[in-house]
Amino acid sequence: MKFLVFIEQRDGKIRKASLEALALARRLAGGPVAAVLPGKGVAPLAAALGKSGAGVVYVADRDDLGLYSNKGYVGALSAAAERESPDAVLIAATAMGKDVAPRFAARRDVSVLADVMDLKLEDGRLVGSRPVYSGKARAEVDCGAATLQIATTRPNVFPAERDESAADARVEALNLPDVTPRARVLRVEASESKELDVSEADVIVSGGRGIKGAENWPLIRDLQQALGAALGASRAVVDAGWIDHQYQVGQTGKVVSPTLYVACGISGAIQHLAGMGTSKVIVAINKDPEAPIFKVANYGIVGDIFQIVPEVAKAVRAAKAE
Amino acid sequence: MPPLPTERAIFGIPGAWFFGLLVVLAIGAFVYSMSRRVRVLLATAPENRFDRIGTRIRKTIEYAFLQKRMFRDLYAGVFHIFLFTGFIVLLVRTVALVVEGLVPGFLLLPGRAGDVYTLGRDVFEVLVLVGVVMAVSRRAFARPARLDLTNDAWLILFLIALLIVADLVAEGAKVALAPSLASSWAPAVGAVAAALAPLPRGTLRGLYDAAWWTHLADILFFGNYLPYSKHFHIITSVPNVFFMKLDPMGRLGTPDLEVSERFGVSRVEDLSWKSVLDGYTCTECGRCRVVCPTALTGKPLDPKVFIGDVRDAVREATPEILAAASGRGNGAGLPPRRELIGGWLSEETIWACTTCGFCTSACPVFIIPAVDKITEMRRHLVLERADFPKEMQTAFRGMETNGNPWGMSASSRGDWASDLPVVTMSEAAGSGVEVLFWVGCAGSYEDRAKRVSKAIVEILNEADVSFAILGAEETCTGDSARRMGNEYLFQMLAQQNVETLNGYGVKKIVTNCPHCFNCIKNEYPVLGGSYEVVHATELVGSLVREGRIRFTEPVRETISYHDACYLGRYNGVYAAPRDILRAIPGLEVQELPRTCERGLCCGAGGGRMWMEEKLGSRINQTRMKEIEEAGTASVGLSCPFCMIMLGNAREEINATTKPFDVLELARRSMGDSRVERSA
Repeated sequence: MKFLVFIEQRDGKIRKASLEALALARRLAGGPVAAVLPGKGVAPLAAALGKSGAGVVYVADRDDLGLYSNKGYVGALSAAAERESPDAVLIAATAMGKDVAPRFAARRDVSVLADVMDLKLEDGRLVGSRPVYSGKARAEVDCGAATLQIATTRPNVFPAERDESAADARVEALNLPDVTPRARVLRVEASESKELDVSEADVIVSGGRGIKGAENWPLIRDLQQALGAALGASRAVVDAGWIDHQYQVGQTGKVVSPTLYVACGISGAIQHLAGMGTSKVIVAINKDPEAPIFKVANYGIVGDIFQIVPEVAKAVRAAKAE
Repeated sequence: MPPLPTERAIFGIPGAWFFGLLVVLAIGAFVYSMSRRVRVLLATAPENRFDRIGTRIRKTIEYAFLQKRMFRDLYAGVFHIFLFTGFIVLLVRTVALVVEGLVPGFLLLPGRAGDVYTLGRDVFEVLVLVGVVMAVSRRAFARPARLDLTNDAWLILFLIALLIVADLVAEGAKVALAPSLASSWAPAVGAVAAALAPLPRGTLRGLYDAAWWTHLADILFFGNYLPYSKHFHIITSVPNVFFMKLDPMGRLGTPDLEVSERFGVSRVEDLSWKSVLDGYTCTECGRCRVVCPTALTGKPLDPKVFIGDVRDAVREATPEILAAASGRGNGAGLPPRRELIGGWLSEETIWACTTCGFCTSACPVFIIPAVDKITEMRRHLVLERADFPKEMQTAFRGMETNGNPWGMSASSRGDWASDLPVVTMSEAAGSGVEVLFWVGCAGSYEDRAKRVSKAIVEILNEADVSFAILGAEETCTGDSARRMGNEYLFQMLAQQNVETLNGYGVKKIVTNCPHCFNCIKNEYPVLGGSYEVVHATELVGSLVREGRIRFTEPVRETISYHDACYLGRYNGVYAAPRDILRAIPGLEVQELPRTCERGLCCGAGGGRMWMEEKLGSRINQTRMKEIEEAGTASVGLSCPFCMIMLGNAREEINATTKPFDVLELARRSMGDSRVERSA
């Protein structure tokens, strides 16, 4: 079975989500697969993809691909598919991937297994699994009888394994016609990266009454920064005036659904649960073993946050440093 | 007998003619002013207040004539009844005087009847003067916070005093001129006459004329001033009481959404005529503001100001309404009006209300200053403009998709009871369940309230009450949705519940949530769901009286009781929870300073539970401070939302008084129940 993986890069760095898709493809194919890498000045990145599972990388290194355009990047993917004639195409379900996959699929008149959290091969058919009804159930999906199967893979779900002994990938340049995107990018305005908004964050670290006072936020901030997370707060500490309302998670604050929610010193009153109960993984740190937060937590640590939170932050930094 | 002042020529015309002209002009002006007010009432939205006439007459006697609500403030009640009865008695005198001025020699009541009336007049003139002095000294010295010292009030008090003094002086001078007219039936006039007697006849003559004219001119001016003043209540109070809302206080209007094209109130024209009459009738006594949770905590909503703004908005819109009603054009050329919502009344004002109902129950003349009007305005904001505090969306979505404002999974609604000996209606089908225990969203999902639900189950089982719950078939009653203006969502939820309840043939419902209680009891009947609804404290109270449960374990503590608005003020359940607390051995019950009808809201009602409180100080903390200052070890509650609000406040202000649900304490005092012993 032949796989082609769409590789996304930004500012000269390959996105981790794409490496996950690549590793997944190698695992399913049982050997190196093909990849396509569009962009400007990206050619030097191609060979190293061998370590992540690419046997051949089709590179479209062009000035007019410096900024993302749907037409240009889908064009590169299509050209690679022409050369490779794959049975399956994997794309990471990032913002870019979610834009590329539908158009590419529509050009080929096939469907997409969107945002899968699990993917396996059954008799040469891809079978994906994805959450439905706010994560209460999982749906198994396949592409029917289509000759080309396409899936987008949810980031941070599949391991991005590397094989350091693997050979460098063979690099082949793609010849593309000039791209005249329908939408021209006039300028890029990066949002002022002050602080990650709690309602958009994938990882949230929240503090509650257990922090004992506004002066102890650095404790929570330390873990938040270690995890690259956004900061949240319970209603109690907002009402107490320890932090601004924009951080409040709960019934009358932000309703969030991150991949990871770490609740530090939050008892878990229903008005808080109403705002974060659908988080994928909930970690609770609280000294009261009876606290209702433990009923919804996937992982609970009973103990003093002043001792535990710094340890966790240290462990996170150590793990990231590896 | 001295000639009447109208028996002389004035400006060359016969005095009676001149006086007659004055009376005709005054009556004409009065009719003009009144017709403008009445035509506005006819042009605004219809509302049937001509039903249940017998009840209306009874209530009018009770509250308009006997003024039962006025005596809650004894001082004001006393001087007001002096003024009120004085006005009625002296109205007869005024008519007689006017007729006499036109037809000299006219006598209303001859003989002994006339003597009795003369005595009545004399007594009441003095009482009115006493009343005015009491009112003036209250304004000048006591200055209660509910009053705003307006010039309008001073003017009216002056006019009343002048009216009486002029009449006494005129009569006194008359008697001094003709001592044969002296009567032992008129002691006050006699005293004035004695005081005036030394004056020369010419002076007395002039005094008589001047006082007579002053008295009558005062009356004619007074009557015409009323429709333009807050003292219009003199004319509108009696009808306003007669047309009072007779439906339960906790029942809001139910529009037919299928046929409605516009929702709620956004313009003066959308107000019902009774709402307009409410505005005309307000005399700014401020009784509505004294225990208003928003007025007390610095929110923009003060019910007295609110109803005043409604009245002023009506006044501003009057020319346009009249022009439209008479078909004389659309009011083009008139100065532009301020918007009712966003102009006269800010949106913050409309969203501030906790619908605690204090203002409604405080008004002596049954004005509904805020609650029902505010809900109508919220309907407009939610259903037509979709313009509301954004955090409300979470609650709306939760109720819509999962049948509870927190958005907890609907299927897990009955999970709290999964390890308890409780059957659901579907399990018990056909086995003759006596009472349905309506658990409510909080009782099903919220941690503390779940413990209370469990206590109730244990109490009911101990007393062998045959009951069941609906479990996952129960859904939010919609109380919050309705009071947050989402009438559509309310009716959807209510219809679903009514279908479920009627499907099981439910006759009797017990619930511990006052909001569910009020909603099912008072609002579901309009939607086809009529049941006997009792609050859990009422049911448990009857179980105690029947000896079916016994409190054996003493709870040695002092306790106060915080009234839940929708249990107390809205439904008059004051005694049941207190009786249970008193029946628990060892428990020493104290009343809070603001209690029963004057109980202060916790801040959660009217959907405020689901909104952020950003303005002023916090209502729950204000109430919790008061509870803490009462110094009891604990406070008894009967509402899961009071429990959350006061529980939060307790932590925020580090209070020591512990909140308990009354039935938690009842359960504790029952000791090891039979249910547990057999387990």
